[in-house]
Amino acid sequence: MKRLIFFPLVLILIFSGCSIKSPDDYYNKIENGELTATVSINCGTAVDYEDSKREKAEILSDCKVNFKDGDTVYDALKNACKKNKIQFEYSGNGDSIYIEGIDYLYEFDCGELSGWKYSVNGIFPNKGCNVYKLKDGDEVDWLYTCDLGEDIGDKYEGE
Amino acid sequence: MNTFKNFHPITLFFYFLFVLFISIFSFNPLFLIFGFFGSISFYACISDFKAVFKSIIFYIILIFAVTATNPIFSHNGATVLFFINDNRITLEALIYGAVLGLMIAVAVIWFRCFNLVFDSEKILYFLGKSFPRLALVFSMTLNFIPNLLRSFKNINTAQRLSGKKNSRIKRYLNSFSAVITQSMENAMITSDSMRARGYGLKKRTFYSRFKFTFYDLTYLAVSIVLFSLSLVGNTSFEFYPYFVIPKSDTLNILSYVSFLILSFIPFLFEVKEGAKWKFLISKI
Repeated sequence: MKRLIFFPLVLILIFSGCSIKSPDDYYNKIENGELTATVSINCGTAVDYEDSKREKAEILSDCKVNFKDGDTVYDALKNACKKNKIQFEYSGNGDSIYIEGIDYLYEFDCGELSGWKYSVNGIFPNKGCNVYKLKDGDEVDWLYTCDLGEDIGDKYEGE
Repeated sequence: MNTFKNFHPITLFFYFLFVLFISIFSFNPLFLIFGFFGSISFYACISDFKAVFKSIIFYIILIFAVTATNPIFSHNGATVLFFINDNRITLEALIYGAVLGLMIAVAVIWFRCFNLVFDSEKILYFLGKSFPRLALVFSMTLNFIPNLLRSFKNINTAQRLSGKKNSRIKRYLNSFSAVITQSMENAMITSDSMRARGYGLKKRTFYSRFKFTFYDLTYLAVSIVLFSLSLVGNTSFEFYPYFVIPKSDTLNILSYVSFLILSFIPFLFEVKEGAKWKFLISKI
């Protein structure tokens, strides 16, 4: 008897933090805001990668998105993907959100040094994408790298 | 009846190696379904039906659990069912989970069959010459858990009937500690006695009744041929982002059919031997 109550309670607890939406609902609800940014998504390095199935480098070019004051790069990407019905997958929450894949192209798909990075106005901030706050008119580029950022013009300065 | 285990250990080992290899690495639903039915029918032949029925329910629960959990962690796939917090739950991830669950179930059933067919005598024969220590440890571990369960049952019954009014948890704890002590003692005794008999030495000879006959050779050859035929076709299945179902050309059909035969061989063998036994009995 205890178990019969316990199990649904746990399920309710798990799902209480989630908002479940149908695809139409999800894609039709576009965020409003007074500020604008442009988002581009490019995977040119994955196209050039050996025996790659990708043919188009441009996934999204110069898409204008609206955002509110205090929104981050992640919010801009989310809105841009929503607007254009592009798939993306993230893991983590809060400050530690990490983009695993965009448009079915995932990290580690092109070698073990590959993944998604972003630059704002041509500079790679090397911060979490949900930490970096956007300003009005920023240009966000999401770039796929096969070599820890060296092939897209970012020098990796770790160990 | 378990006449399948009368085959030579080498033949049996390679048979299970082939079947498990294809079941685990092919990741093709059709192969897995063949493997599932082949292994479960063979398992039903060599153990009792009631246990098999119970285990089938367990496997179905396992498959459902994996199917339900995979879409929560994998959001790849083009067919969206619904969204949870900006992450999509997709049909592809659901089906990938189902295939993964089936793969786990098939591997577990084949290993159960392997355990029933490949007893400790065979393990000692198979590994004894080249890896005596490994063979010893392997056969002792295989023996350890059934022994532990049996003595736990005995001690627990004794505790229950001793008249003490302990709660169930306390009784289980008591029995558990008693079982652990007993098994440690047993391990010492066993290791002493086995060392005295020369186990674990490289030069020790084993008496075994296994003889590699023509029958074993034929069976081994048949399973090698069927195994290599099942690898001929290009049967790799792609799940993400769209399903890519391999074309059903002649080579693929050939490999499907040969794996179907390969996974049903033990069952057919058991059926054949059972029929033969019944026929011979009816003549008496």
